[in-house]
Amino acid sequence: MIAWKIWHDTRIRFYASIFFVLGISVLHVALFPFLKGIIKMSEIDVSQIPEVRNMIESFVSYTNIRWFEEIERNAIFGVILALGGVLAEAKSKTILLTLGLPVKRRTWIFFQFGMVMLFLLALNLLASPSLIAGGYIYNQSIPLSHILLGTFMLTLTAAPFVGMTILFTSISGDNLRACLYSFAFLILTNKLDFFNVADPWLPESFMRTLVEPTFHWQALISIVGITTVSLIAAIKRFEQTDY
Amino acid sequence: MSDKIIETIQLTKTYGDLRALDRLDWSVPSGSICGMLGPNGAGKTTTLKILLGMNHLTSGKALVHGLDAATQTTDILKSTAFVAEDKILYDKMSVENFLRFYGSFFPDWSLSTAENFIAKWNIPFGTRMNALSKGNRTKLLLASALSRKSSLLIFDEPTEGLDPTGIEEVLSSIAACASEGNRTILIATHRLDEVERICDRIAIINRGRLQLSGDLDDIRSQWKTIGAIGDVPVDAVRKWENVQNAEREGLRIKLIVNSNPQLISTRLREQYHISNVEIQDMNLREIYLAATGFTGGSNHDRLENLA
Repeated sequence: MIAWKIWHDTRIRFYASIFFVLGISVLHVALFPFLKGIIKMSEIDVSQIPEVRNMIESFVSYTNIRWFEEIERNAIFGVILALGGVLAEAKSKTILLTLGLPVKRRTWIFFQFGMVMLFLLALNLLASPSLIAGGYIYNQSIPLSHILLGTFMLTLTAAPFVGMTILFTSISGDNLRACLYSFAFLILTNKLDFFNVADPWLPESFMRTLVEPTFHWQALISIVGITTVSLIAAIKRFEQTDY
Repeated sequence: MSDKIIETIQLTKTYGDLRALDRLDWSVPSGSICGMLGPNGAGKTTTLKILLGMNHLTSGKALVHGLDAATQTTDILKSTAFVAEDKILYDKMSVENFLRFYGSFFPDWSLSTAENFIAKWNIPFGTRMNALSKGNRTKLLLASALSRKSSLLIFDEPTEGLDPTGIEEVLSSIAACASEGNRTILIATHRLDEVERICDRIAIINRGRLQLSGDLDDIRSQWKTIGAIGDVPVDAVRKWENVQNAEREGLRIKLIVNSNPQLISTRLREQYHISNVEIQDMNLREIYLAATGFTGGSNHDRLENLA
């Protein structure tokens, strides 16, 4: 019933997220020929820009770069779904009702994290048929195993953002501020990626494992580390708070 | 198991410089209905929250069912039903969903009992909780708690927001619940009439300290006012053991004593040669005012203050 409550609190955001993810996945498929055409028309020498060259080379490489390696979209859904929950209940004053149930405070946080990760996995899986359909449309089918592996990995990259959102909610007790702090953290990691700072350690780098022969273990350590630390800090904060 | 279902030992809680609870030593025996009284900010709600692990104690110890409230909260909550002062519900849930959700955490909870309360108290079953009136929210929370067979029920201001009929219904149900087996009920409230009606014990807390605790009938038999006319030095009498307060009203001296009224009456007669000494009963309101140190003002002022 803990899971049911989290589902009940989050379901509207989850339904809205499904709508957006499906829309974005359809757009992703539909935009491929347009992007190809625009780049060709622009007379850019794509041989000098490997990322652009790869992107228009095939629908598979386009999907790897635009769908799997751009983790921000998934992180944004993670932040939105992780907001609220028991940590924000002090503001709505239902916290005493919730704390009157024989459930450890840390259990609420573990469940919230787990449920949000499940929601994200479901969202990414729901987008998979569009990617498969795109493969058929452009006669460049993507293996199902590749899509599934990418989906699991993509879901995993959102874990630090979900963890940080839970931590920020435990600190601020307020959805709006937690949302702002979480997006600031997302922008920070995005900028680090853009300027190639600490690149191997960024969650973005983990997705390159999907297309490169090397396993980006630093990125995985970073994902697991940030998630674990943020959840432990959130639990500590929650358990020490008087309501 | 100890026959004290609740026990606090030197329980202290501070918020910065504010000492909300100050070395509170208090216990509630199993099977009693205890009314917890005290002015606003006395420390009643803080005590309840510490007992249920919602607040952390600064020092001392709090035990419920013999379990440490600081470390065994989940076990305490399994056998304790609680209704908080703020009767706030999950607005997006329906009444039916809330009952199923709440009940799922407690094996001792009965849906049929809850449904009986819902029907008896006319709470709309299929409604979303944000459509419920304040009174119905209070009733719903009480119905949820009373549908458990827990050995301890703790209510913080249980009749808040209820109309007179609702108050009657709720108090009757609480009293009936108490009569089922060995159940202990602790009620924190400002409503002295409700405490007088259903409680067999009281505890009065003021400024974080226990002022008075015990069996209500025993307290009534010990707390008396003694009136006498004569030349009696008030300041000297005030220092006597068991004299809570002494005041002069014209020629008349009025003492409030918290024990041995006969002994004090005899002492007054013998020491100051007064023949006309009257011992009078005190009602709970007077006992409460005396125990919390309220001395000044007319009866009208006192009533205003209480309101």
